[in-house]
Amino acid sequence: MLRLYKKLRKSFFGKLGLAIVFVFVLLALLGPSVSPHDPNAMNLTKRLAPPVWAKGGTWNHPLGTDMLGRDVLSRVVCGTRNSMMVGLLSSFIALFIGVILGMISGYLGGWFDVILMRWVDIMLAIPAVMLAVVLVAILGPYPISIILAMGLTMWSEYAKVIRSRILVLREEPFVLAAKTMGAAARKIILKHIFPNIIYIIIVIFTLQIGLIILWSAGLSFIGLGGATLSWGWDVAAGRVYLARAWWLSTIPGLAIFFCVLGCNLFGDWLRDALDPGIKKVV
Amino acid sequence: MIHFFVRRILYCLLTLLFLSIIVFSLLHLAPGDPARMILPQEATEEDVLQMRKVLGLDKPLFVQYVNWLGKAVKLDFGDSIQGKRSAAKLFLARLPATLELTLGALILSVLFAIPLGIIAAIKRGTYWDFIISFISLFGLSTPRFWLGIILILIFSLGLGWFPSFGRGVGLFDGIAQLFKGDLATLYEALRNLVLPSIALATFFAAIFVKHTRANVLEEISKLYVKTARQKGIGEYRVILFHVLRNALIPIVTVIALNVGLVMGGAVVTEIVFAWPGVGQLLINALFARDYPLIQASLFMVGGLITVIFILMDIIYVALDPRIRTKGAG
Repeated sequence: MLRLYKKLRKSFFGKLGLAIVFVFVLLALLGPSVSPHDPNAMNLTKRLAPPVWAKGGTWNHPLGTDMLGRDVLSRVVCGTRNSMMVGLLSSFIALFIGVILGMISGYLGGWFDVILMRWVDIMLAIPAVMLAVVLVAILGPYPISIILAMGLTMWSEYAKVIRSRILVLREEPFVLAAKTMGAAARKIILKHIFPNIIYIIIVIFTLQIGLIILWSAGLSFIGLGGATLSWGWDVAAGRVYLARAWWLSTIPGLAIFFCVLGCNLFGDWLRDALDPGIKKVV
Repeated sequence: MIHFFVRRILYCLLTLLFLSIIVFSLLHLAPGDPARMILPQEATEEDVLQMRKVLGLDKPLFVQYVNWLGKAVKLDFGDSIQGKRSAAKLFLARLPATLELTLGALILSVLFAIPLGIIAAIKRGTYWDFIISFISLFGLSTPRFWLGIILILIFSLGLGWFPSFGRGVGLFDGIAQLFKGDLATLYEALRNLVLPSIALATFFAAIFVKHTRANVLEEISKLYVKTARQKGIGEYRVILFHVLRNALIPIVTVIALNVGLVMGGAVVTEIVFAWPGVGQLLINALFARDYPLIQASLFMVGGLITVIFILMDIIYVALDPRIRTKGAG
């Protein structure tokens, strides 16, 4: 941990990424209590007010107002919680499924392994976005559908990487020794193998969460998120007013961009720092 | 060699079989009775039963699946609920637009990514490397739909260089017109294609840059490169003819693996640019709960990508003779 901290102090991008992530986590936690206005409060007399630096902008609404006179800054701040939650929860689902399947597949091999790897191939053949779109459509347009859809489509990365790592690990002397001493498969996996793949899991998690936030924003953009307080939805809603009010789509999109950028910077740094042997390009 | 291809094709068939199971089960996982959905609101219970019989919904699930699969291999997915037209035909009518967009984005991303990746690798650790890595990080972090909107805002609404939505006649018709000596049609088609392609390509270009850089770096450190240099071959020749030939092979795989993701990404991009492709069709079908159309779209896209994978395998073997022996072994 201390070594990691020392490495972090030396890396500009690592620090930058962590700082950005920290800000967004803070916004997600505090949300409504730091936003200047109620994100859903409409005021039709003040609709489409421009941001403060543009002509006619006021400090009352620093980032302007939308077509219903709602404060854009407040909507971005309060939308953070929704976007982060979707990203985190779906990442955890993907992690859970992928790690378990990857471990079983790598350790036991046999038929389970063959079927699972075929399954992963299929996940490559059907664009994950399409599958997610269909899942959301079946489950109905709620945030929980997006969470499930992303979780159920994004686990294959975990399964693939962990399986291949376990194929190597299970031939290692310490695993063979445990086996010889009669340890049960469950115990070997949990006590001997799992501690060796935990870094990989952390790294995939941080690298993937940005992607998941990006794609779930895409699903909300299409209108499948149901919740009307999310960045993706706000970008979509502002599209109609693009010629008159450029800030409506632009600003929530910037929020997505910075949030994902922070995750990617931090994830890239963490991968290099922990160096769990995942190729540079994962 | 033959052994290798036979095995690949068997794998491909197995993949299609799995795919068909998923696509088929979608209909049964979804809430609501398909028969009731096709019929008008005032239909009686008897009508519903009758419709269930017509659709074969009264038979056991497995029988239903086999029947469905038998038709699906002949590309018969039934009629679209909305339009009363063959779902497969509706899909195929939209496919060229999506292929065009996918192709445009792939060409753009490869065109930019490979040279940038090579430069980043050769100039490793310099400002070039730093700037290119940073650009690709931006590409990875930008939401595609948002980028599309920004592009429209700047280049279409602001500067008026490109149309803000639609496909026009399409690239393939434009090329066909070219043979009749009509250049203007192709020009218009390309103008329509530019912004959506850029919006779709950015993310993948960033991925390809990372892969190219990593692969070139790996190859450069190998002994044969040292040998070539010591033989006095110029640096450009070493990079172009020795390093790239080997470094490009894994990159071809990465590009092939991403074809599916590019097509998937096209769904959202099509919505932003009102591009009349498969993605729009799929989204409309979803909101209308048009299951035959959804099934046709998913199965055919999946099938197409599986076939692309197989083709890539063949190209692969042509590029890299080493795989032949591995495959046969």
